[in-house]
Amino acid sequence: MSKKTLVEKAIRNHAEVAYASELSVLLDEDKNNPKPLNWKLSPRAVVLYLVGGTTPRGKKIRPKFIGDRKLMEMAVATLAADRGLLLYGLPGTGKSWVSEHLAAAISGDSTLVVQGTAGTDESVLRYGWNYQQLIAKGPCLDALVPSCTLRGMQEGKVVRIEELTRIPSDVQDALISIMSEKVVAIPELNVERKAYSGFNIIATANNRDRGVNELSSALRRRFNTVTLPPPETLEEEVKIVRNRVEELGQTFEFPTAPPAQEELQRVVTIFRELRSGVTIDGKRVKSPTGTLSTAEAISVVNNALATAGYFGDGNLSARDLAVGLVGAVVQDLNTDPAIWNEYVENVVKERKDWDDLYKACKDIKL
Amino acid sequence: MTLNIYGIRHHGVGCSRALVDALVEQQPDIILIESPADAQDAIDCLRDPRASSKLDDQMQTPVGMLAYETENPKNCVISPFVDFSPEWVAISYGIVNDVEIRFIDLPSSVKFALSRNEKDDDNKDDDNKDDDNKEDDSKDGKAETSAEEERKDDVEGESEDADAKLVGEIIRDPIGTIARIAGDPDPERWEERAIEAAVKPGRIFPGFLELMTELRFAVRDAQTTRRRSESADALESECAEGAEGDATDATDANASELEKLAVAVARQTGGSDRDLEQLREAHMRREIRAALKKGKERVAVVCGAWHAPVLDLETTDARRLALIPSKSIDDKLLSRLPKVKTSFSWIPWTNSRMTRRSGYGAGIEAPAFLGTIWNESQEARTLDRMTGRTGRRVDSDPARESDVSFPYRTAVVKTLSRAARLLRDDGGEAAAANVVDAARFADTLAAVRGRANASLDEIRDAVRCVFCDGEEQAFRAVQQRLEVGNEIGVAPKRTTKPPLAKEIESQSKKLRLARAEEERTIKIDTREDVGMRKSIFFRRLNLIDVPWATFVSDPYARGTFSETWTLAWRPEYEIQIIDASRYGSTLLDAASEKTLKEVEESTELHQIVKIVDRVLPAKLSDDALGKICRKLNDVASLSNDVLEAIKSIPALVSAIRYGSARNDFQAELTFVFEILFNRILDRLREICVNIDEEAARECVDALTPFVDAVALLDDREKDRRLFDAFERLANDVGIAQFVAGWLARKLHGNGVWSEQELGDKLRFYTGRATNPEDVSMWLGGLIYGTGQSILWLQELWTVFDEWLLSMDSQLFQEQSAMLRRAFAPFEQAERRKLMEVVKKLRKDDDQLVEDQTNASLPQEMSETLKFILS
Ligand SMILES: Nc1ncnc2c1ncn2[C@@H]1O[C@H](COP(=O)(O)OP(=O)(O)OP(=O)(O)O)[C@@H](O)[C@H]1O
Ligand SMILES: [Mg+2]
Repeated sequence: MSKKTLVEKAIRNHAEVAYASELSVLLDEDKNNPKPLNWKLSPRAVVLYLVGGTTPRGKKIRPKFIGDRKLMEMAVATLAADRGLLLYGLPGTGKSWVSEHLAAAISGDSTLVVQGTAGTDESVLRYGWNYQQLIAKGPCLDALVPSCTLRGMQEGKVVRIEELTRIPSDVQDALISIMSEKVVAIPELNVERKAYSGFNIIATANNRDRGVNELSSALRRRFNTVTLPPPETLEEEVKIVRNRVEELGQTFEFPTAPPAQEELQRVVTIFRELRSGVTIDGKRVKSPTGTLSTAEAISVVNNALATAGYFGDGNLSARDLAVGLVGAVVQDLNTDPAIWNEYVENVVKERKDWDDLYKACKDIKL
Repeated sequence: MTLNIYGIRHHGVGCSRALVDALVEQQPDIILIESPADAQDAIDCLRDPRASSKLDDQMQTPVGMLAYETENPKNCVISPFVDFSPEWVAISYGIVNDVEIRFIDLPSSVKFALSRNEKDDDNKDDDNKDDDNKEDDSKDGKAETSAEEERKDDVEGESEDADAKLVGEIIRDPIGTIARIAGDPDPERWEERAIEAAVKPGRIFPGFLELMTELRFAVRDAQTTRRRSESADALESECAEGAEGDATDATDANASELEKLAVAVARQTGGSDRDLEQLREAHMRREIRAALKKGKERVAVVCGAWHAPVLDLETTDARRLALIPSKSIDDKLLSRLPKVKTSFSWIPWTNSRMTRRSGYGAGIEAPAFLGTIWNESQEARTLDRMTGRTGRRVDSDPARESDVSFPYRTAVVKTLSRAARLLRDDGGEAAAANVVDAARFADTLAAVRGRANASLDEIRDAVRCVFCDGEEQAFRAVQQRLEVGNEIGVAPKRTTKPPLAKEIESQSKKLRLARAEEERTIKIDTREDVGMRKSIFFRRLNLIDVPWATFVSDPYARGTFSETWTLAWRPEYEIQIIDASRYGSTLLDAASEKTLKEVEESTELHQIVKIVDRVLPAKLSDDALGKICRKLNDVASLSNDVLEAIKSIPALVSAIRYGSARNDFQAELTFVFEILFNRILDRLREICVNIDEEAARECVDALTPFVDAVALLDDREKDRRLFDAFERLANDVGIAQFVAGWLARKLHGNGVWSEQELGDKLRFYTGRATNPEDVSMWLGGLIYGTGQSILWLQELWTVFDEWLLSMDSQLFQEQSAMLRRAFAPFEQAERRKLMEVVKKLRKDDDQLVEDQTNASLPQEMSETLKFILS
């Protein structure tokens, strides 16, 4: 594989590109159904796109979100009822993932994203200035740099705000007028920019950030909150991991066979047991500091696959997995190594058919 | 002549709405309702006492019609009604329009008689149970309410396969099951849509009838193939087949078989629930035939949808006719049925008891929400106009009249707005301004889900994500209040209530005690007249097993005048009151009589003493107190059991200390006390000899509250006698050393023995070269149940220390287990204290010890102590 193709392939495609064929199938079949203004698809088609299934004409749609269908119905209905959507939950529960797919399915564009950080300022939510132009021409439309939000308003598209609660509170409050009046005033130019139908905001926020920059009640009133829970069952979580791993495998064209179901089950079991503090046979274990989210499980398997593909014999080995597992579990060097060792000795060692994994784990020096 | 069968779903709002329309259109001259035929008089209770074609305007749903075996009110069935129960609608319509109403179901007196065998067995068990098993009693009551469900669950239980399960579901809730099969989890909404689809709401019933006919055939086929071997069912199908061949006459063979079946049912030998259903339907048909014969022109029958096909006697549809047995078969089935005396009463019911979750088989999920839909409907207003009820707002909205789903949509908005209010009441932020958003969201969500209108599911989701920030707990906190509500009904004035129930009601009114299901705690001061009266009232209610108020024992309020009670009313208490009314017509009499009966049946001294302690503050009649006292006296004199006597003393002392208005009663209690006290002192030794460690502990456990109780009497003379006896025993080497040790501590603790004497005692044991085990036991008893005080007895520990030192290591090993057990109850901190005490002793005595023994011993000593105390 030449270096060039690798780089090209490695770039992660936006949802609307990666799933373009599914979207066009839906678009086609959905032609005559009523849609909210400027929506590409009808709400029910959006739900179908998210939870997967078969279209009326029998085309298969892959599930994007795996879990309670009601949650996706609530998310879509929120946007259709023209309210802001706040996806809330533990890290790695698919909030950003769902938000991206919602934007792709509704507006055909998931690129209008604001990444929330402590440094996010109003210009990211409203507009900024190109100073070169500003100095040259004075305040004028040419010097204005519209934010993602402003573009979303003018194009009638969904705008995504990632990690809303990391944005300082006073900056957050800029959203209140955007969401209720649906205009951005530009006093410097004495003009205002109105939002077109189809504009809406999907924000995500992380449970673990609770209390950092809690939303003001005025802002919260403008959002419906849908909480995404961690996968309820082992089967569900395995399915999530498998779906993602297969998809990524296709994108990256790993020279590796897709992992066996048992292998995925093993990884997810370890994640779930350490996360919840109880093993499937009811034994208590200590939980390490990390979140051990589904997202991390996905990347453990992916990394193992990549290693196996490029440096090994193409088959997923226990060793490759063990390296990833240790990386995910051991985050705090003071406490986690002991917790991990205890788990390896008390749980991994005892399990039937887990010998290879046990040996591989023992070989890794912490 | 018309015979219209209105097959309904119990408590279905849609069915009620359709029923109002249908009745208005049909203008029946008689309304027949699926309710026990012998409850006919109960209908009249609902009429206004002054005008028979008016409803009692004080009465309020939910109310329950209670049918009970007159001699045994615990054998009872409650049929609850809310405003929107179709049967209730039919009754109201009939009363206000002067239409004759008849209940046509199998009489309760027959049903009770049929189920008597089973019940008798139950009761036997019941009698053996302890009296404080109130929980079980109320469960009993509940099971009665849900008799319907139990029955259906049986059907489910005996069948493993899904088909049979479906059959069970169909029989229990046919319309609900159809709705579910049609992919709608909410039967209410399905009903609504079915009604919407009908040209006029009232026209829905022929459709239901068709549907149920098909279901009947499906179920019959399923059951005959499944249970052909079972004689009863084979018989049933034969009966149906026979009818198919010749609708008016069954063959002789069939008739005699049927007769056998009827007798079998009557005798309860292998009669199954299906047979009961046959009896019920036969009875309903008989009543319908009677109405037709009387020449009624427009007959309306309101029954569960399931029964509709087999009641449609006038049908010309041959297929349906095949389902209907002939008159002669029905008559044979109904001959020779047993009966018991049965009474009826209306009792207030509650919304929460209308729910399936509360154990009511035909229960509904969200009475408050359904009530809102009903209130918003045009049909409810039509009925209101007839009944002259003005409570509901009569804002006229043209949409209400033209749009069948109007009430549904309005109810969603109203419920959401109530949710916001409830959340705000709890200190939440749910803004009223958001209600509109929430409603729009609920509608959109329904559309996304492909449903015609938003309903309960969408309301829940809207409350969750619009008002509760996606937090499930916040939603759960208001869910019950939002969907179910705390409504409690008012029974009609004319209902035949036992005088006891009336008296209790009037007393509660005087004391301003409202019946509410929600638990609340009140404090009362018994020095005040009201406080005293409340206390007595609550205690008497408890004596008749109506624990409306439960006493919260507050260790800090002991002996003061302040009492704390927790109040929570349960509708079943009405049944309990009716049951208790056989003991008397006033609360005082009933409580006295019931208690007397209990006392008569008790044989254990401590049970009776407990009752005495309970009845004194309840201020029972002197007569009753006297009788109870006499019984106490008898049992006390006859009883021989010393331990039993010891256990009785605390409650007895509490009763004596409570005092009584009448001195002779107090004297009597004191007399009993003397008997018991003397017996205990004389024969205490009996229970202290030849017993193992466990029995010794039991003995000490009984003696501890006994000693405390005697001390409360504050009687020097008694104390003296007690400790004399104790001292005699403590010096007695024959008794269990564990007890002896405990006695020694009591003696020391009460100043009988000095510290020196206590030490001497231990020295006596250790020095006497007795069995070292005795020493350990004695120490165990000494320490048992003490706090730190024992730690400061220097003398004692010195002797203990000496004794330990005198042992060789082997002996020590042998004793260590026992000693560790003795010290086990000590807290870590106390053990550490003890170590310090001993160390200190050692320091003082260092010289001495060193003189006497090897210098290395102290070191060793603290090691061994550590071992014991660790
Ligand atoms: N229920 C789910 N269904 C489908 N995929 C899921 C689910 N939960 C997690 N995932 C997968 O997990 C990966 C990570 O999800 P994502 O990045 O959206 O998490 P997040 O909730 O945004 O986490 P954070 O709070 O850390 O931002 C995605 O690739 C997604 O496919
Ligand atoms: Mg994210």
